Order: sequence, then structure tokens, then C-alpha cells
Amino acid sequence: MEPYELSLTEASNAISAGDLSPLELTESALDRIAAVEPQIHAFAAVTADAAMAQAKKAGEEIAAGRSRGPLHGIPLGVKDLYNTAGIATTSSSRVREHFIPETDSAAVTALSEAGMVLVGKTHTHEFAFGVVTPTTRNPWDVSTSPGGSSGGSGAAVASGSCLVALGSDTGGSIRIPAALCGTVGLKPTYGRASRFGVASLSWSLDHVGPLTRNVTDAALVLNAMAGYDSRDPASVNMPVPDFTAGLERGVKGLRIGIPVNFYTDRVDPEVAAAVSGAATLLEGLGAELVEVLIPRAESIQAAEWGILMPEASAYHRHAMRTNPDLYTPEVRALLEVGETILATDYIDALRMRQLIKQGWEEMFADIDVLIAPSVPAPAVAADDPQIYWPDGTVETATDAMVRMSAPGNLTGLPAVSVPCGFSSAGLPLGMQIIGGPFEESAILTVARTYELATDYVGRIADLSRTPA
Amino acid sequence: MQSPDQNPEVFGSMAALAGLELSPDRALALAEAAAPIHALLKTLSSRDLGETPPATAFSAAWK
Repeated sequence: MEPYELSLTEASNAISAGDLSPLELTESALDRIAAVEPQIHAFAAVTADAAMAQAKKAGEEIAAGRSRGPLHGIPLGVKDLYNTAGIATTSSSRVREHFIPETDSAAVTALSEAGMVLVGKTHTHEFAFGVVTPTTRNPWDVSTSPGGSSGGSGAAVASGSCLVALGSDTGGSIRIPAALCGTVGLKPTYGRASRFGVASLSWSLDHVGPLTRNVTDAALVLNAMAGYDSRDPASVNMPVPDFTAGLERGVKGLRIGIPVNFYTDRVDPEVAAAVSGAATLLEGLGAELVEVLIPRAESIQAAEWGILMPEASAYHRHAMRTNPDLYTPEVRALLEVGETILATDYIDALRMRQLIKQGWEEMFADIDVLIAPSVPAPAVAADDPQIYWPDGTVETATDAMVRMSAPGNLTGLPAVSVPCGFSSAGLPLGMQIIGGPFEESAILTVARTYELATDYVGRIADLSRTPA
Repeated sequence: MQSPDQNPEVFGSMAALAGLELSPDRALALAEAAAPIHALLKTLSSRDLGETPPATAFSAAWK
């Protein structure tokens, strides 16, 4: 087994025991990157020299008895939306080709202090405004998309290029690539983790969080990322528990909401079966399944786009007047359309958001968590990002993927995507577990329970599939 | 008859008001793309939102 194949905990333990050095681990990750990048293009930039210097320093600190904890010396990929001091931060856009921030984003600072080793900046769909990440391919089948917008992070973790990669989620952009690439993806509660220094898609809906190989890793990274930061106006001043505590307490007596609408519309039968199977498994482990009706289902899409589009357009107003031709045509068109949305329509969407929030609060009176598919279908073809439903309708990947993610963004509730199977074509399937506000511990416990009872979580794509 | 949503001249005027300079061809293409979005958002204005305030609140605290 190569060092890059070790789980984070295995690697961390091996480092503590002196059986593995951070430099060996980082070199293994960099070798893996070199081997797979020609096929998947997960990285906008690989920071090999800096990574080896950081790994060496980590080794020295640990040898001197100054371990920074379980993340010390662990390879990390950072979505190219996040500022990294002295390192180009392009948002995978020509608009920011030459942007080199002077300071790190809050998340990068936190993980750097935890001793993580930055191996590179991962590709995003341009400015996070899409779910395809066109630069990048899915390691499970390189003819398919890894999803997005954190597609580079999903592909990097799924291929074993790094153990953790950062993402952002405004309409599903952590959970979508996590599901499609077969990784864990955690969108914490809105305001739980600071977005300072991360390019914004929609301030009202943006969340930051990690993609990881397994559930414990997500909890460890959240421990480092969570916390009040006055530089992020949405940051909440809430105590941060140890998210790894009680992860293995099981699900006995837990009430799991099973939607009978919204998440049941236009879903690939293999996805539906996998999620249903997961629910049955958890019931067998002591959970109680409760059927629930998703409130305001008919207004979710309007609320999501009615908030997201005008905010995205507002963020890009200046660049759209100085260098509009530097944007990809697809994103440029979305930004132009967004500028024609009336303020009153935007405010209606925000009012509907309030009603959706209230509806979910009422629904959660009867449940502790809710389980649903993360995405309605497995990864789509990279050169034709659409879903062809059996009834003859065709849905863009954007519409399909965002619709299942939107409730998590609108409500701000914590949601974790966990691998729950593979399609008959060998593509990963993912389910999301949604909890009450600031109840990341609850959803991570359910995820960990499921992980322990199955063998879908923790796999690395071997890239042996030949393109179609 | 086209609804205002689908009218490229309406769209072009809105874009001009926003300060975007669009060629007539571009305005036409974008108007087509914009129509379903505007139609989607109009489903909200047709609902009675009662006294519900928007999901925004301004905190006067400095830190």
C-alpha cells in the first residue's frame, strides 16, 4: 500500500509512531498527482516545492514533540476560490488569472495552523457558477464530469491526490461533487465556518466546508474550520464542540425523516434504491423512519435562483463592465441575465426563504435528521452535461443537481453527503443527511454509523476505466 | 403574442438600465435565456407572502 492510500487517521497514527514521515506522505501524494493529473486535471496549480517544505517542517515539529494534532502533515487541496497568500487564486477564470492574494483566507489560516500541507489549488467551475467543472474529469470514469462547482476537490480526493480538499456550497457545490466522485462532502450550518477570503457566488447562500475520504476526516477538519470570525458578517458566535466526540454512538432511537415528495421527483431508480436501502439499513440499526412532506416544494427553485443570481451579478458588476470578455460565455450570460432581475423579485425570494425556513423548523418537530439523495443521477457525460429522463424530458445538469441541494442552502441547515453505492455503470451514488441548525454532530454520527455498516465510504478510484 | 419576459426589446432596456451594453444580437440571445428565469421568479410574486419579512437582518453590533 502506498502512503497516499492510507486513510487520514492511519497516516496520522503512522506519523505519530514514527513509521511514516510527513515528507514521505506528501511525496506519495505528489507522485499520485503526477500519475493521475493527465487524465483528471483536478488542479489549477500544484504547489510541490512549498508542499515539500511544509512537510519537512511538519516532520521536524512532530519529531521535536510539537505535534499540532491529527491534521499535522496531512496533504490538503484548496479550491481555487480560497485566497492563499502568495499563490495564484484564479477562481478558474481568466478574470483572476493574475490575482495573487497577500493574505490567506480564514480556512487556509486555520488548516495551516493545524499543520496541513498544501499540495495545490483545485479547479472550480468558473467563479463557482456551475455544477460541471469543465476543466476536470471524474476519476471513476474520465468521460464524465466530476460535478461542481468543487469538482477539482472531488476529483482530487476521489483519486487519492490529497486526503482533504476544501469546497464551497451555494447550490450544492460541495455535496454534488462529493456524491458524483464518491467522497464525503460536508456543508456545515450557515455561519459555522468563516468565508473570509473566499470569492463569493451568493453571500446569502455561500457555505464553506471540506470534501474528505471518510466521515471522521470531515469531523476533524470541521473542528479546525469552525468558529466565530467577525470578518464574515454571517459568522455566528456559537461554541464549537469536538465534532469527533460521540461519532460512534449509533442511531438507536434516532428519528430519520424520509421525504415523500420533492426528493422523490425525477430520480434515477438506482439512486432511489441506494438511498432507500440506506434508510432500511439504519432502521435495522435502531433508527425510526418517519415519512415527511417537504414544505413549499413548489417554491424552492424560485427562491434559490431568485437569491443566487442577483447576488452573483452584483459581485461581478465591476469586472463585467471592465473585462466581460474574460468570462466564459456561459457564466457571462448568467451574470448579464442576473442584472435584469428586479429588486422586488429578489426580495420576494428572500421572503420565501423565510417561509421555507419556518416550514423546515415545523417539519423537524417530528424528526432528528432527514435523508435524501444528494443528486438525482450519477455523473453525466463531460461533453453533454444533461440528464435524459425516460419520459423523454431532458434536464440540464445545473437544474437537476441544484434542485436537490437548494434546500440545504436556503435553510442553512448542515448537510453531509456520503457515498451509498455504485451505479451499474460503476459510478458513485451519494445520499445527504440533513440536520437541525448547528447539529453537525448528529448528521456526522448518522454518516459514521452508515460508513461502519457498509463498504462504500473510503474508496479511491483506480483510474483503470478507459474513456467511452 | 410575446410576454414581456420574452421580448428582446424589454430585456435590452432592462440591461441598458443596469448599465450593460449589449449588441442587438446578444440582447436577443440573452432575452431567450432570461425568459425562463423571469417566469420562474414571477411564481413568487403571485403568492401571498403575508407579513413575512425577508430572510435578512442587520446587526448593529461591531464585533
